Amino acid sequence: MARRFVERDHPRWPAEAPDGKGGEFRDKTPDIGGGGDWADRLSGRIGVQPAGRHGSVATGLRQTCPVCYRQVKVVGSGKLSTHNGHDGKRCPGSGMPATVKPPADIQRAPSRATGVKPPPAKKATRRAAGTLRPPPPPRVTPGAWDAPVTGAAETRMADWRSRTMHRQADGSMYHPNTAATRAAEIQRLHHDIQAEEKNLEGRRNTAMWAAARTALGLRHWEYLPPGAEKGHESAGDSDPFVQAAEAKLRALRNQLDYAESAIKHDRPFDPTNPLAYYGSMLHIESNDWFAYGVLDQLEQRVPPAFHKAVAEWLAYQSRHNNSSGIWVGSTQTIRDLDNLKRQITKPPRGWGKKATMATWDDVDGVVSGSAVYAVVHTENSESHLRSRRGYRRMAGQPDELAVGDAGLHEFGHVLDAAMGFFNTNRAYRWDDASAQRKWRLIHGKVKRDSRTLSPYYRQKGDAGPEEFWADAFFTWASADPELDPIDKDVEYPRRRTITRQDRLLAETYGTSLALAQEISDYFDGLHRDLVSGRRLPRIEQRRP
Amino acid sequence: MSVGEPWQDKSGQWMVPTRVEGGDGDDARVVGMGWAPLTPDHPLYEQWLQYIRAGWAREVDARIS
Repeated sequence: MARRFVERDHPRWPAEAPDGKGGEFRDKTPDIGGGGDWADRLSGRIGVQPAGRHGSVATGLRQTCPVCYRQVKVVGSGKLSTHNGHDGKRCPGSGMPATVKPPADIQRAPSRATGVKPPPAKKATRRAAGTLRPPPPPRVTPGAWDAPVTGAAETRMADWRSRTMHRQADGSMYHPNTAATRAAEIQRLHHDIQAEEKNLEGRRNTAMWAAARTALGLRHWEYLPPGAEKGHESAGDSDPFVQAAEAKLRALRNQLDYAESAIKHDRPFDPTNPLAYYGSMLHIESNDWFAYGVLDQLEQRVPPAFHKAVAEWLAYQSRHNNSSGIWVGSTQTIRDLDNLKRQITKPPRGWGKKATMATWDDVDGVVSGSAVYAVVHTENSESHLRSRRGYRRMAGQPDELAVGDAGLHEFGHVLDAAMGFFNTNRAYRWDDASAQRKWRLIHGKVKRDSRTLSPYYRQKGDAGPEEFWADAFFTWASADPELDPIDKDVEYPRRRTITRQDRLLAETYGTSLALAQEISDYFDGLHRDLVSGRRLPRIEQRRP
Repeated sequence: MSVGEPWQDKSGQWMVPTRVEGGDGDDARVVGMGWAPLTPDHPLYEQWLQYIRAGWAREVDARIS
């Protein structure tokens, strides 16, 4: 097989080499290595034959064969080249691994192994720069979560409410006729433009072939020899169909520009106040400590970029669902929250006999059609909290977070949907982020690794991975990503320094620290990719 | 720290987290989290008991050491 040129296998002179040789191939001169003008010949082929996985000659490297003591070339995979011994027969040293290494001053072309790494991304802060953490809610005795908020909390609640009301009155936010439908409109325009581009290309080709046929005196059904259309490329310029298609494309692109700029214009996102972005979609149904706890966690614990993605996702969902948004209540049951009664009509399905089956009134949090996300405080969650008062506190768990856990958990479910993708692997449809192979692998590892993983995350089908995604998000968001004091005591080979998040994840799910770091790296990466634009939220993705 | 930690009510009955589902089809799917008593007819009865015992063992362990 012909050897392929792999650039990183061929040493270059260092940048500061004299005689202007910096960056040139090192053994271009005939007296070193392969000699001759091989480098020029090979360089000329770059791009013609892309680098494959085949071995290639690491020129300039030679080693004495330990069997026959001949000088033998080292091939790209680091083995001695095939050669014959003194008796003229194949030397058994052929293919033995070489021990010499390239000189340290050799400059190699960037590759995954040797390339210059980009500077590490800055650790994203949870809170926007310049904002101070507001005072935590005071610890309230259990049973008083439905007491009205007081003090600094009252001011904050009033602030959240006023922003919501302001946006409602102003009417520019998330009304079905404006922003929400505009998101759908943009997606439709993208589709139309794509189709129109194809149409234009077809019209141009048709005009070109028609002109070529005319020039050759052929009928429209007669065979046109290949290459005959050359010289007739400009025929499309005067074709009325081509002109019409171009005009339509121009108009569609103008519409798209307008729609996109309009969205940017009337939906400013302020990362210091992410809850205001929900506008009229945020329904605060009560004025007590429970609602305050939920809202405080949402504002302080969730990175603003996730709020932006979720708000746009909920707005987009309002095409199908008139009550899409976030509902936070405390004294009602889920079904009492506006409009949800109409959506939650059937009894919940699942396991258990009727006598012991949960009813919707026992449900703490719910996500309906990934459009409505509601949290309420029930008797059960009250007892749950009460039971956890004496529970051993875990490392990294902030003291002030004791209520509204279901809020972050359900937010995790909505975020899971908002960061979804079009799944061409398992089922040909839009799917949640938790259906991605990457997450399924992590979930599988946790199931195998952990002896104390709750059966709630071992459920069959999509239920297990989805619940684990939402809950791992909740745990990840609950702890600060600061260095954990145990870090200095742990000495085994590890991915990176251990943070409080890692330790909390490891303790919660009973996994190793390395696996916990994999989970927190997953969410860190999700956030980093979303901020940098490497990963788009679901509504901005195109269907493949 | 997990949202779905089992707990005991006043009568000593263990309550475990339950994923409740409703609605029809993908678009109208309703998923929620609630609590249901742990009874022997629960399909994950053994697993939950094991989990609860392990947690109890962890607690004792932490208290002794």
